[in-house]
Amino acid sequence: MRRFFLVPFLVVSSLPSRGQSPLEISHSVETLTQEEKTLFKDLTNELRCPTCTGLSVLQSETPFSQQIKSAVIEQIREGKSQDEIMTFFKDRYGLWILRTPPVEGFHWIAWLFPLGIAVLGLFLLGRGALRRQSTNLGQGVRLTDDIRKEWEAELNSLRKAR
Amino acid sequence: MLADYGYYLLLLAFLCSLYGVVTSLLAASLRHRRLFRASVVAAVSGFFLTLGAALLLWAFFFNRDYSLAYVFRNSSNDLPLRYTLSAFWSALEGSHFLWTLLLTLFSLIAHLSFIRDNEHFMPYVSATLHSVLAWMYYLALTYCDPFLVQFPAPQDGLGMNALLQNPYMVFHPPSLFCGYTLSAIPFAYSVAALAYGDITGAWLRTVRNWALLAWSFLTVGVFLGGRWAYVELGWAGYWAWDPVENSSFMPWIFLTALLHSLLVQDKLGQLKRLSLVLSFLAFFFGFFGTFITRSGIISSVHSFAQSPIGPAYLGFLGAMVLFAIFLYGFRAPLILPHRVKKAWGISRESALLLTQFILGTFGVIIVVGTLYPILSELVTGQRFNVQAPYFNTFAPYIGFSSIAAITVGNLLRYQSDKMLGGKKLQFIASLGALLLTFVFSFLADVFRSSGYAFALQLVGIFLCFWGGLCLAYQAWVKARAVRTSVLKQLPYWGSFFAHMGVFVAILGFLGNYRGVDTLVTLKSGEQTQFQGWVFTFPGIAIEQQENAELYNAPLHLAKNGVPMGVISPARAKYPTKPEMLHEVGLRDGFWEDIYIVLSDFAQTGDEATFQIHINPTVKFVWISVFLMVFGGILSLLGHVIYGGRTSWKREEGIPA
Repeated sequence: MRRFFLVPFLVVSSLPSRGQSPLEISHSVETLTQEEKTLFKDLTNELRCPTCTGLSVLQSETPFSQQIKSAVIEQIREGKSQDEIMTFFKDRYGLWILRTPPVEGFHWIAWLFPLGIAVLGLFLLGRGALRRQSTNLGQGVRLTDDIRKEWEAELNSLRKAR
Repeated sequence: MLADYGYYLLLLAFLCSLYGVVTSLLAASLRHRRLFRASVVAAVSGFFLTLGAALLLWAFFFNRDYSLAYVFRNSSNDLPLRYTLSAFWSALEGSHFLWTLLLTLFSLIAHLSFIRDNEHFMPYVSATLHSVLAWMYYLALTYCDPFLVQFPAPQDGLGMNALLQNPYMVFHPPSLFCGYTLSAIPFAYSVAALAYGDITGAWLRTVRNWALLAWSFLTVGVFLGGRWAYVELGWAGYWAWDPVENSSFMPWIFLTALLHSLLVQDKLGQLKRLSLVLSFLAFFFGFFGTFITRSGIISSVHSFAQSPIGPAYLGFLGAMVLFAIFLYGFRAPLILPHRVKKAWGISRESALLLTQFILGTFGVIIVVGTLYPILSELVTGQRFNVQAPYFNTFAPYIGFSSIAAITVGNLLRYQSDKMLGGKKLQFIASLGALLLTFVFSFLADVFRSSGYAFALQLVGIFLCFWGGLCLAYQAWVKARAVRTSVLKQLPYWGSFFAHMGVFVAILGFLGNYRGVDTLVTLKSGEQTQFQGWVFTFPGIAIEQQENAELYNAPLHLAKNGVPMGVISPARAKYPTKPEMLHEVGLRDGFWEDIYIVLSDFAQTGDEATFQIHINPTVKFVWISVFLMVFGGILSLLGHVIYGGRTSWKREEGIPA
């Protein structure tokens, strides 16, 4: 369904880009063994469909995605590891092809930020929960006994003074 | 001509809201009771004026009067009646209008309810609501005027977006918008509390009711959106961490956090300022979501409406943040926590605070992930779109730690580190959960996955059952302890069902983490086998359904030689649109859904290519939403029926 938004792009995108020959669609997933299929799914789930919004190569059937799938299958058959195949696609298309930020350069922040929050938060939380014993006399909280007593004491001292 | 009346109605409503702002601010500064009544009148008349304008717009739709540009662009003569109704909110102008309409409705109710309890700061509530409304009217009159006229009027419209011609899209936007607009009221009350400089018991009760209502609506809205994506988009999933999906989820997270901080506030009189911040965030992210959708700043599949409204929205959001920071910065020191005798240590309030923290962390991760394209473009110059796998890396840990926090928090008591049931319960629950994990794993076919994912799944399933058993024990204890009326316990039972819903949802997510699928091409009469199911394809049939022409490719299903019905994936051709849309074929069972998409078919009708997905435990996710919403409503009912008693008030000796 999402594919339909992109029909105009398909024509452009299936043309050879960056001076490279287009990948061919010549391999079928069904020829892989069960373990290889799992590897295939893991890999194609990490690559974004270049012509869709928010979809992985695995989820899409656009010509471009099919080409990538086919290339993945070929390389799995050649016995390349997951890292090698990912590196191949990173070199060919740039980081842009990835669906998760890589752990390098600026993109560290995408991973460090949540981790930092978790660590810092837990630290503050632990300290706060252990120390949380408020010592203020409840100003701003209406009608506490403390305020009543305080005021009565105040009034009494005023009366005595008079 | 008639369209001009619509515009003038909106203009009058705009003036009403301005009047409301002025009178309520005056009423607040002069402490003048009757001036406040003037702003109530403004709310009432604003609502009826907006309602009139909305009815007028609907009338244009039902009369198929294409002299209105909005009607022309979003409907056509062939549109069935129910979609003519929902075409109202199928693009920017109308959805903005619907949002405004709902906001006036709830602001009207807020102006008329709970006012005796909150009399001393109602003018501030009113001023906040009226100024948000004024802003909405201003946009409706300038950037997204639904009453723009065109001449001459065409005979037929361009047609409604075919993706939105789905029953779920009739209900999804209104319920989601109800959630967003309802969260404006806790926000308004928070502004009022800061402006007035105090939080009272009545404030708490009122805000809790509104927050519960908003939460329930938002849950329904998010659910319907997911369901719509599942049956309409054809990628066999219901949640893809798309920016627009995220932005409906962010307010939900903050509302959930707000409900929990209100709980601590109720019992101990602490975390008051946190409640204020959370209610602001819940409201802010509702608006923020709209901004993302409308401005086209981040690409999303759900961006059905784009316009130059972006910069105006950004200005408003910025103003809102600045206002909130200044107000909070100057006034928050006035709002002090109630005195507590003991340090929190290990206790229910600490567990609740931990829940806040987990939810908040999740919220921040989602915000960062959603804004990452902009962030990375600013810094590196290259736009990097963060997609589902990024969020899915964190989701399990967030899920598991919330299960732990929910369970432990429920078993603990306030101001005490004694756990209900003690070691004995932990032993029995762990053993039972172990057993149930095995049963569930076999029935839901979890063993398809392997390695790290498999380990995560097993741990998660175990935790869900452990939590479920512990909460069930607590429920049993509670049920035996009923003395006077079960109504007093309703809020507890609400939370019980909502938490159980969370567990069921996580079970569902874990189960369908890894579905299986295959792509097959069949000639008519041929059959194929997949995961024990046999699919027979008789050939393509064309049928007319409402305004769409359906190219049906039925598959007859059989398991172990027994026929199990027919699934009909199809392609639909709408008269006003050139492309052919997917109609998913779905057989939803308890343990697994069979989900078939017609990928391609031959014009001759005797060959078709199918994408067959088998998705385990999707049903669990839908069930969980019913549990959660049921819990929310139960809790709300409990608070409304038996509202007056908040425990810290009892301690203070204040009559309820």
